[in-house]
Amino acid sequence: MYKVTLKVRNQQFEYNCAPDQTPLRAARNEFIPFPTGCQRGGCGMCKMKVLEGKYEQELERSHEALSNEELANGFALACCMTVKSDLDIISAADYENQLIKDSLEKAK
Amino acid sequence: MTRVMRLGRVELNVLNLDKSVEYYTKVIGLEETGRMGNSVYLKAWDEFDHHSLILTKSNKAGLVHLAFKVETIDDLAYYERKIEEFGCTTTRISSNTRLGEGEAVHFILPTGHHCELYHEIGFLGTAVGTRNPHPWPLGMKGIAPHRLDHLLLTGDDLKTVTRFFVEVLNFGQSERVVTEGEEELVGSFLFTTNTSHDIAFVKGPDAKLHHAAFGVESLHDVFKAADLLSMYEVPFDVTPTRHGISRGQTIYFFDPSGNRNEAFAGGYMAFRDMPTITWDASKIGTGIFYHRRELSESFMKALT
Repeated sequence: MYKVTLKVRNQQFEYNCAPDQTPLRAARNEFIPFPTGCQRGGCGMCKMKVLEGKYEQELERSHEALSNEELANGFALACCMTVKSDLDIISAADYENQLIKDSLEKAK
Repeated sequence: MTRVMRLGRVELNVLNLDKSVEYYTKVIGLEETGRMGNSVYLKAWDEFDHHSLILTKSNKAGLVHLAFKVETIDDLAYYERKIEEFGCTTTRISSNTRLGEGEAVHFILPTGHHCELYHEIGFLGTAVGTRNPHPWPLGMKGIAPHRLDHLLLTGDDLKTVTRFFVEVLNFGQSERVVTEGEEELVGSFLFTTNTSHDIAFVKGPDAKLHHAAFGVESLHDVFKAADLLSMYEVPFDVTPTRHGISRGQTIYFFDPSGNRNEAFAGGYMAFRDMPTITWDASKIGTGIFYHRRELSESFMKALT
């Protein structure tokens, strides 16, 4: 069992994820409001930035949902990935907001 | 009177052709009718034209094109002129560009979707034939819908795309969803057959697919579809319920590439002279999901 730390919708959650579960499924089982769409790697609603930890991304997915560049930069689709260690993830939307906030802070 | 007969075919991008063909034949229960290049052609048992669904291998999901069948070959030139007059550019797609298809007129809808009109397409006949037919064929697989029913697409300018369908293609508008003061059109349901909608649009990003719907006979068939989807572990978006808009009975789920499908039953008969039904945006939850009376995030945001 691995520990997942998830930042989403301006909130933080911690939950356990078995090696044969996706982090999306494990979160939903705990009633954590994980953004969920097609669960087939097609729509990109569950796109995450992995801040720390090992994982394996299913490579057959929509490149519109997760491009090769995003894949290389540590983004992943939580509906079709498996967890290989404790994981620290943030939703792509929250990550983007955080980057904007950080750059505004720096500009001060 | 020149008219567009029906939504004849839809081409979807799929991530894995083998998995998708297995899903659309075994779970949906369509029949494979041919292959060409990276595409597989399918039809439902009650359809008589060569295909209504084309699956094309791609590295993304979503809609490649949709096409409406017109009544005569001369209608192509008639609509071509009307489409040009509206301000859309048309091009001709030559015969046999795809399997079993004659010439088509191509244009891009004001919402960015690739659309075609055609008349000629190969004929295969329904699975029960036309002479003393049985009501349904033996050995049906999966959900086994009668036909491709409708498409729901998303786009930004719904007023213009509605005007296009009504003024150029002579569709009727059965229902619409408007914001307060009728300022903005956020949903538009359009028909050319006598079904409640052959194509519909909801406000959202241009050129995206919300769902492709297959027509089944009754609520019982919708419920049985739900059973089958659980047996095959297909992810649901929405379990069986009723629509306020169209009054149809419905279930939503996702194909192996994340394209949303619907099994749709019932709904009223639409007529050209029917008054358009209006839903207030504040009542959209009831309009879409009559029982739950609220929208869900996945239904609104998962698009391909």
